[in-house]
Amino acid sequence: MKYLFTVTVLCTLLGALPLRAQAQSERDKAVRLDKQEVSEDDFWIYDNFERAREEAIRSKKPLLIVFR
Amino acid sequence: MDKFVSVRIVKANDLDLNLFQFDYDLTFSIFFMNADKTIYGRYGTRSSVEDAERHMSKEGLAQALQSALMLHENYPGNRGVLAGKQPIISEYKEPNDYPSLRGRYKSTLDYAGEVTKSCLHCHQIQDAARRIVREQHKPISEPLMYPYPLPQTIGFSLDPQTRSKIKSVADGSAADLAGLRTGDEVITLGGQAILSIADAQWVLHHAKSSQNLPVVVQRNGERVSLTVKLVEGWRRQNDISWRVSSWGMRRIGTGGLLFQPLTTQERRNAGVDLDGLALRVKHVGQYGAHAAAKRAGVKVGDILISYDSQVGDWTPSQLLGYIGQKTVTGQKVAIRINREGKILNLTLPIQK
Repeated sequence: MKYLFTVTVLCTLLGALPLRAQAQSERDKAVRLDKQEVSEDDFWIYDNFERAREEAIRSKKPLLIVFR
Repeated sequence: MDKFVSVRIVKANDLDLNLFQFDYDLTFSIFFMNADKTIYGRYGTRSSVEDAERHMSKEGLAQALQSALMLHENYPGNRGVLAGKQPIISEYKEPNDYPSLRGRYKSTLDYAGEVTKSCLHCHQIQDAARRIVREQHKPISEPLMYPYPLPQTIGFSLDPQTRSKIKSVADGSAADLAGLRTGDEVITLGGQAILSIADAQWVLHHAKSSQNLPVVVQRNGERVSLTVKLVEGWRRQNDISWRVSSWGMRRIGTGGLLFQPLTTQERRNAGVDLDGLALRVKHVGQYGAHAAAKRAGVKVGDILISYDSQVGDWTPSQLLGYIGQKTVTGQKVAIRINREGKILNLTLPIQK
């Protein structure tokens, strides 16, 4: 009985671990995809405030800084 | 939009805390800024877990953008109305300088590896600031406990479809007593140009516990100057229960409980005081420090009717405020529970 209980708990845990890892992996993929899309878009500067500032000084435009 | 240089910031790891000061519980926030780092305004407001975007709209953002462009055109001649919008010197230059965050995150993200785990989240800044105070066994200050109050806290709401038009004024509130009216457009609050709800929150965040707050509104084509009187305790009407940073307070003082206030009818049905403390346990944490209430014997459906001998009719937010300001780590707190008519006396630990 004790053996059966241990096996059941282990199977549950081992079954849950890949799910958690998969969710993590999906989130990581989404961040990487977002970086790629925003970086390829000419409109946005990706995660580089100083570069944006230099561009604002050069163009005399105001900055629009989005935290997301 | 093409009249701006647009930058997207995705991490707070190396955030300049002497420049980017905003509501760190937000998941979306905007700054309008001059290249010399003078801030024209902020945009982005939230007040619930479920409905994260109800205080924002494309129309409201468009009007805020137009106003920011006007401020940019008139800069630097308009520095006076921008002075109050500028950041205040921070003791910590970046999040990694906080003792509880030190050394935990690199300044760059690990895009090749577990990138989300390498990201320091904005709300952790708020957690870290509170932790310093808790470790000193001091009460958390009101601005740190109740950050960035909505205008509703003093009795008026702004229409998110507009830049700063008043959508409603609560009867008998500070805003009502000051003479604010539905349909007024707030031009300045506390002497600062208002481009958005977030700008109004910035003013309120830095307001004193009691002070006279000047407001200028546009009404029927005319400018009207009014004064809102803020009285001691006004900030405590600000609901903080939706905030991610409040999860820490739940762990600290409730041992992982999530509450739902009872309606009058539910109070009658349960036989609890109609004007006393009555918070139903909606969720009981299951793991680690968030399971302290479970270990103490609390169950889902229980009704909290006394906390540390306090029996006032608190919202979940006000309970969290009491925990942050009136309890110290290591203390044991007596709670009284109504479980299907039976009264139970239990004890919760005040945790780190």
